[in-house]
Amino acid sequence: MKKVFLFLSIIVFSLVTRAQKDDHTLTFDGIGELKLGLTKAQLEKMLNTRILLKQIGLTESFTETVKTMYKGIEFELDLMRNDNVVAALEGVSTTSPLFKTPEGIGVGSDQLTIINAYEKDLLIISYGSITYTNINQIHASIVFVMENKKVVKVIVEPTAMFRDRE
Amino acid sequence: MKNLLLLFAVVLLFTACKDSDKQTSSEQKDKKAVSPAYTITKDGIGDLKIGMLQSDIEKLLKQSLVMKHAKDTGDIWSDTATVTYNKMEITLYFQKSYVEEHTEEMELFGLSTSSPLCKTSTGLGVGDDRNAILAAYEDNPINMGPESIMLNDTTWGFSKTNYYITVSDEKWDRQLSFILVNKKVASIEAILQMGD
Repeated sequence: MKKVFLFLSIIVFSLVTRAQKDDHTLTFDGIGELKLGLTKAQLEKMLNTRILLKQIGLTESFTETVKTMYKGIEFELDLMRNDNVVAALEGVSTTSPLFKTPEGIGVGSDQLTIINAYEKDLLIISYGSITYTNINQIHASIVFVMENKKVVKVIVEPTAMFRDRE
Repeated sequence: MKNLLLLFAVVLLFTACKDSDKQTSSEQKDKKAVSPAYTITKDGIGDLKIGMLQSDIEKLLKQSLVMKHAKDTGDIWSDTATVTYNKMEITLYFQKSYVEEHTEEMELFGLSTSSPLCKTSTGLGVGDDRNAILAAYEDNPINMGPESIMLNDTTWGFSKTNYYITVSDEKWDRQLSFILVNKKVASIEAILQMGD
């Protein structure tokens, strides 16, 4: 009996650990483990690689976009110069269909599904994208880039109001 | 006999579908056949156009406008008036003209109506729903969400019943807004687009 219990505990533990490792959430905080606000140093540790900046610190530019692979998935990281650190994650995007919002929206979802899922929130439909802002969390938006009324890319970034404050 | 019945059923179904098509297309036809005098666009309704001066509107309506804040003291920079135009009740939004030679004149910067007589050029009006608006303006930039409401002197919140859908175009100068109450259009507004 003890052995069965131990065996079950190991299985449950490994499932939980696996679920934590494969974070496929798409929220206003970020995409998976790539959360807005992470510093360049924290990102380098996570990605296990150095991020070579060609703009920030070398030119007058405050922002820079770099492409990276994380756990076999391609991401674009929008970095922004910060007073305290060299750069921090300002926005993140991916074309991977693995990442979904809690409502199940992600790459591959269609326009009407998005509109129905977020009918109590703020939506801006404009020339190839739908920007979704939750009325209770207006610090960031999820941008669904559309092609033929289907999501082809997701972006998490601060709302214009919050970006302008920085 | 069975085959005959089947054939009859098919013919009946086909005729019903045809009638239904006719009805839909006639409804669409009705939606499109709106007189310009009753049509709301981002520029106004009929001859009531955004940008007109108060004196021009009074001339058009052949009446003096009764402004809501006419009796207020101090400098009034914006005001509203409700008028009847082509049997439609319309609220006019005015602001002081910035043009030097009209400093004392109010200028129309928006208007709204809840009249069922009023339709957009795409045939939308009071009673239509969100999906009809989205289908009619699928190539236009659209902002939508619950209406902001003032909860008290310092706090704003979002309405649980009122919803707005704002349609812009590539000029981003004026916009058409639909106010939905319990998911149906209750009023339509044409207004100057505010800057960010």
